[in-house]
Amino acid sequence: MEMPSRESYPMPVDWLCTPEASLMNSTGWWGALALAALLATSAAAAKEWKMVRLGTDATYAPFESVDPSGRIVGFEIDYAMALCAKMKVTCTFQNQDWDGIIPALLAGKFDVIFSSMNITAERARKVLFSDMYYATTPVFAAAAGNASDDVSPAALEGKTIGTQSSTIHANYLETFYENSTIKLYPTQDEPNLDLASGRIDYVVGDSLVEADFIEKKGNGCCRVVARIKRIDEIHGPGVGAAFRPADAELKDMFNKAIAEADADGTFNRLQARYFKEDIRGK
Amino acid sequence: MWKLLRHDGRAEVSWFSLLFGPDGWGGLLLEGAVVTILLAVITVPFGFAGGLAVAVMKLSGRRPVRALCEAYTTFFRGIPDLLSLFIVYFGLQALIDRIGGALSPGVHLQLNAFAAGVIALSIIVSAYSSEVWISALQAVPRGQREAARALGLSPRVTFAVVILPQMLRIALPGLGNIWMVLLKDTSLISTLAAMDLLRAASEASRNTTRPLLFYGAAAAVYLAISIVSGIVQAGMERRLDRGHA
Repeated sequence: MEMPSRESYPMPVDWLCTPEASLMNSTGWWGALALAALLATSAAAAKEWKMVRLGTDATYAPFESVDPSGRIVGFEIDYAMALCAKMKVTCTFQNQDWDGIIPALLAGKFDVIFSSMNITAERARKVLFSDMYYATTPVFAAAAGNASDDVSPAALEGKTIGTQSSTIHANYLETFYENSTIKLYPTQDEPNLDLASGRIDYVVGDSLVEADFIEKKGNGCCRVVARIKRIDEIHGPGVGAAFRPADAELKDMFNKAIAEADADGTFNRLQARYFKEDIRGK
Repeated sequence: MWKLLRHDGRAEVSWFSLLFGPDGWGGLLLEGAVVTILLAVITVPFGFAGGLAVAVMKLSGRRPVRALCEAYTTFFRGIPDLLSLFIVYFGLQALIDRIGGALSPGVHLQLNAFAAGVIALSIIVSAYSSEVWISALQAVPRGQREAARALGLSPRVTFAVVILPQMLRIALPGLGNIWMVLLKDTSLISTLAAMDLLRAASEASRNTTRPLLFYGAAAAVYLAISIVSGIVQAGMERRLDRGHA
């Protein structure tokens, strides 16, 4: 059946001689007021940095995660705050999902990515990286009952391997494990949970993140079966802070603070709180 | 009562202490619920007023105005609500930066996830509610307006005291439905890492590996809010129905 067109409807609203005008003026005015109230203004001084907003994907314990009070906590948070103290700037952290973290930086949602982001050539085309401040080893984890330590591409043919998407781990798997099924997830917790529940056969992740999961959440489900040797073209030299290309002076400030934190033992003091091993990677 | 045991033999932490204990996640869930309710409540007046404005323009505007309104509702009703949110959060931000950068360099307006949520959801609710308003406008008999005119009431007064009350009665069930959808759509901002009810629940389940407990708790809170809204809506309908058979 053909619907009547809008023109053929009776026109019940000619009682408002200037209907759009009066209605639109009032809503338009209120809308503008509300918009002004809702837009959080941030006085980001272009040259002199007093306030620095750091963005992180707080789903990556023990480096960054959310505690029961809703605060973002972890090694990188403590470390970043120590750097900020050295730079004499006020730093705030905000949570940002991993898959949108570079667009959010470029869109000005915050000024620095401080989120265990490994320095890679691909990312360096879009963002500016600080010096490397830590480096860890990627690992394979499997179910506790999996007795084999062989994780060669031939041995894992037909197996399902999970990891977080848009990561060095995802790149590594896509490069070398084309005969396995690779499953990519928004956070590293999800493949870990899927491994624990037996939905997938292997997980590739950071050694310390996997150790944290197995110890605190995994309930004895899984074990680390093999360590992966870092390959420079894929894994890069390690983790750095990322900046918008225009913010070179902010990057220099961070590099200076990173060097100071090495020299005065701040890094060693902080990492001893979280890890048994040295992760500075120098 | 039997105790749940972990693989390693340690006693499982009780659901009660996970929610309400000193290190429990109940507080964060409650804060999340406040964010969820605030987002919905702040969005509603903009969404419904915007929808009414669009309805009026669709019915009485000039042809290009009508076409524009049709395009607007078709677009935002036709794409996923999550995509609308991303368009506002990332797209509108880029637009603000471009315009703001040209007008006043140095000042930087920043849309946070909550503000983006209010704007995006208002746009979505306007698109949906405009259809409800249109049918309500058309359902008020023409004679009502003519009678008001004959009494010498100005167009504005006619709308406020004669048309709008009758329209509201017809529109309320439809608007109530849209409110329910809005309440659930607020959870979309959890994808922007805003700590709403859903995000709080997923943080809690992520950290404790107890998804059933925390997603269940979040479901209970959403359900409670919906039930209360249903009761409020029924009361409003009863009040607007006075004098009608």
